[in-house]
Amino acid sequence: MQLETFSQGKSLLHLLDPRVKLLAYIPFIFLTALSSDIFQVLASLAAATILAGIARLYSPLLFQRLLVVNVFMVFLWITLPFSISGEPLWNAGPLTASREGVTMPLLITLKANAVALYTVSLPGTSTIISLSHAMLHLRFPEKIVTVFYFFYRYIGVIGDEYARMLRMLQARGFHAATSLHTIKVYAFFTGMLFIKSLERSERVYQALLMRNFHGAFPLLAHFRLKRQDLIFTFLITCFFLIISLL
Amino acid sequence: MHISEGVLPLATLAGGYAASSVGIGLGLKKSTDEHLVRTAMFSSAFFVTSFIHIPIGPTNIHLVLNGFVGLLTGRTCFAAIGIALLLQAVLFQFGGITTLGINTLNMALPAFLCFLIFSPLLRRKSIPVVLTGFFCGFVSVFLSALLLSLSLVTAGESFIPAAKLVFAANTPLMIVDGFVTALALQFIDKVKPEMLIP
Repeated sequence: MQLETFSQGKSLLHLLDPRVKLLAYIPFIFLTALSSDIFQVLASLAAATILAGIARLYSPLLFQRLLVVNVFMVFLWITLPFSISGEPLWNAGPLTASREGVTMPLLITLKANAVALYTVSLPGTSTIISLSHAMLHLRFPEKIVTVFYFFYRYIGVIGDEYARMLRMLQARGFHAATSLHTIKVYAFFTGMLFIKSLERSERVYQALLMRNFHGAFPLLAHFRLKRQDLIFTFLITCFFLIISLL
Repeated sequence: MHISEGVLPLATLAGGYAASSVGIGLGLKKSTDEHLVRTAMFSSAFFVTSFIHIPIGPTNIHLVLNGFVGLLTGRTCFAAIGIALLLQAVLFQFGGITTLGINTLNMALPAFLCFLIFSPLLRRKSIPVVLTGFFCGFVSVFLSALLLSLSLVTAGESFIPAAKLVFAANTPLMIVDGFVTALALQFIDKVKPEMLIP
């Protein structure tokens, strides 16, 4: 399973140290998500758009991802214009949409898209394994990162198991439909997948024991900051200050 | 079942992170290495099963199964659910990083409660496994949807209609998840009953 769609590339952002990217990412998303000033959010969205451009990420796939982000927004666009009172904008029968009620979902939609663009262009341009490596160097609790490492390592394996079982279902002429039969098949499917996961976890644990595992992996490779990382840190800090002062 | 970025106020986000960190920390603290590996593997299976879509009329819904995962992982369910949500946020932009704490809480707290309530029932077999499974699946999604709606309301009173709509949209999922959890548990009970005794 190829999951890290945006991590492959040769752009400037792909080459940066993942620690630097993580440290730049966190303040930006919290600043954007918590802002209530439309100009600040627009500036942040502009910065995110530029970052995604530098990472050369624009592709049909990226727009497909952004579409998913905006699905939840439909709930807000349907309800908020009518539940916030204010200056009336237009009437639809007994319902009145207010101007304040339209700016609110607009603000949230812009924020969500900006954060999604930050996500694909900063942590998204590193592989998950190098990000978990970076998390250890940034002193994240070792235990949870180790669990995350195993989790990510075995998604591919369990995903293969899943694909094989689906093929088997298709070979037997299974078609998903709105029926009790479909639910039954998928329930047994899920049960089997979890049984296989348990059995694999037992084998993996025995293999780990044999190799003297103590609950964490030692860090062998270390990151070294290069000139490009320092320049990026300087520029992104300037950007951050400008946006936060707006 | 995710709240996306930019909706909730700082207090809710911070509260979600604090509560989830406590849940993850307490769960992992006393776990053996064997249980950690098992948690990670169940979390991978949880992530993979979220790709299963069940058609409901013209549309389809994807399985959540947080109650099922809660039953199987027990105390470490906060970690199992949290890391799966983290990966979904980073890779697919479902939910988000600022909302990771609250989303984890909304899904893992019901899972943990289901573990506390239904695990003894499952061991004693005082009611049939199918019934335990159905209630476990139903209650976990019901509570998650409820918590999700309540967290939306913390963003302001104007979010009440949206919260109601989100809760209503999750009703079919409660039933489907109930059925799937029921039959999956029955299957495991037949094929590998020792798995249900943690």
